[in-house]
Amino acid sequence: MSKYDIKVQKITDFIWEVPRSGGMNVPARVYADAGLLEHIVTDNALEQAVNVAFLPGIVRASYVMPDAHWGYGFPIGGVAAFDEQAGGVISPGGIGFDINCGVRLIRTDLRAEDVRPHLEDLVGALFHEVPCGLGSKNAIRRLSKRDLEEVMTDGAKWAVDNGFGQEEDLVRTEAGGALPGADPHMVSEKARKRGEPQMGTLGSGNHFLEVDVVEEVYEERVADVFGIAKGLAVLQIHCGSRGFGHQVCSDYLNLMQRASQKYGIELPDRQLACAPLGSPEGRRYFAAMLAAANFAWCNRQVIMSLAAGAFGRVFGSDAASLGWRQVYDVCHNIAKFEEHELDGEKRTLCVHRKGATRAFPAGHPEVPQPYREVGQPVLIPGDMGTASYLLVGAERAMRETWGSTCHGAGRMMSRKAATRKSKGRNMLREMAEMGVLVRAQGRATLAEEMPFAYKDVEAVVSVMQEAGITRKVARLKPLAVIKG
Amino acid sequence: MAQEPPFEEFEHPADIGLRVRGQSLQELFENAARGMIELMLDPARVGQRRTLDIEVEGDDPESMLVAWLGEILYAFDADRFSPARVEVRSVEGGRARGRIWGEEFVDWRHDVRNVIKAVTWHNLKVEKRGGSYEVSIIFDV
Repeated sequence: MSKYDIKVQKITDFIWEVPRSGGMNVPARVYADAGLLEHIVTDNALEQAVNVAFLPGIVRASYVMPDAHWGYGFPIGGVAAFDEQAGGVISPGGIGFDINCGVRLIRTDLRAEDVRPHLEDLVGALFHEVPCGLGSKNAIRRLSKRDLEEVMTDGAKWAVDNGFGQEEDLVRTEAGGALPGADPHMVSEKARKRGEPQMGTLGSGNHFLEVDVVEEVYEERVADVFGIAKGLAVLQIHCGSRGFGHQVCSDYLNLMQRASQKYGIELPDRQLACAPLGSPEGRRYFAAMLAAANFAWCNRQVIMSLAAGAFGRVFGSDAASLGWRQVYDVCHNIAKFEEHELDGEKRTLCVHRKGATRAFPAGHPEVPQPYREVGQPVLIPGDMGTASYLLVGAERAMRETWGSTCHGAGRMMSRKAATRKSKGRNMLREMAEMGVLVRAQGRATLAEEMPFAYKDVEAVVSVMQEAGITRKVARLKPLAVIKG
Repeated sequence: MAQEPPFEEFEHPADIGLRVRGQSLQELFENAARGMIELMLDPARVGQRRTLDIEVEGDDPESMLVAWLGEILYAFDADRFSPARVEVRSVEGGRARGRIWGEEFVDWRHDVRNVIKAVTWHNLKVEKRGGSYEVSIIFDV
């Protein structure tokens, strides 16, 4: 069904390329092994990456990560950088509806054997503290208009200032938990109305809270710096900017349809609607998108604090004496201005990461001080049965992928197919047999999110390791999962 | 042709696709909303105590369609308005007008099927075939 005759050339065992042709401004470059590549080609993700290569001002390549799958507009697992001086654009479809969807990892001193006997209670407490599922709201008091304005500009700092977590958490958050340049004036009343009651809520879909045990450590020294050791219990939080972000994206996709026409940008797909980075439309979207990104960081900060309460109650002690500390927080749906080297020159580029994670190496000034010597922690949630990975950014990431890597296992099976496959089976029991206690708000979500619907996360992170982009630090095995 | 359903789900790896048909734009918009509502919940279990009039504008049928469906999603997420029934009054002159009936969202009763985040523009094209209209819509879930 491909619109183009896409020819893929092998560069190395882990890098493949669709050479530039027709209207492509750059080639498309795929990080995958032969097995993952086949999937990326057959499900149209590659065709979408080729479409991205048509956009004005894209530089070097349209990148595809090994966990990529067919999205809408950009593939999920796509990375693209745009140069304003070359007429580069910003595209809401290159970030997605769930602006700053991301992952936060928290370490504890608890060991798996301390946690296992209390797992039911812990899951119950987390489920109680963190509202999830459809229309989840009222985790904390409804934000006032002024609160929301502060959240939009201050991000996670608003949460810390209001008693949710510690100042230290901000240091261990990408961008310190707030990107400058957010402008609340660019955010619609509708987005605000959706955002006000949803602070501190998980939402639904593939979002989750997960208690894991560190099953394997690959690099002791790095793990030690991150506060991770074999056998420790950790918590992962995966969620984003909720209805607030969805509304910001929807509002601006509409505006961008007109902008694309106004600036004479020809689009292979209307979901790729965009505007030049320097145009009023581009700037307005960027300022609104940052407000949503900051909302998401604040959301994960509040959720983490609510989860700390749950841990404290179950283990009869305050979270701090349980060794509760944030390892890191990454976003995997965002666009940012970053300094990169292009043709031997330092340039400020607008890097879009849609279903891709920033992975800066040791020594990069944006890696927080506690980790600068070893590199940025990268959090890769796998499916809810198999494993998740803690990685660290490596040097080649800067040279090859604008400091970016994969973001998860990547979906392999459609939701419908997964639901069909789940029919007549007891998913909760199957998960229990895999050693994972699951509590899900919606039955449908559980069926769609079963491990068999996802690619092999091990294969995904191995590709990025072999390519020298990120290295494995630890493997996390799920003990309990809460799904929205 | 006559046997073709007004709307049907099709597979997409991460999201949900809906193929919609209608004899007129008005019917197409109505069927699109009916299809989307059935993806969201079980409309048969939702009462019709409240109404909401929706009016949207757009430069072309696609932008009106995205806006129209977007308003229903917005009412659900922001106002907890569970939709049960829908009627499109007109689609003309860059404007679509309609009304939805429903009630306040009740989690245990409305049998939520999918939480739709948004209507995407991915490959969105309202096509006229013979005397009828057809469109494929991808929803982000």
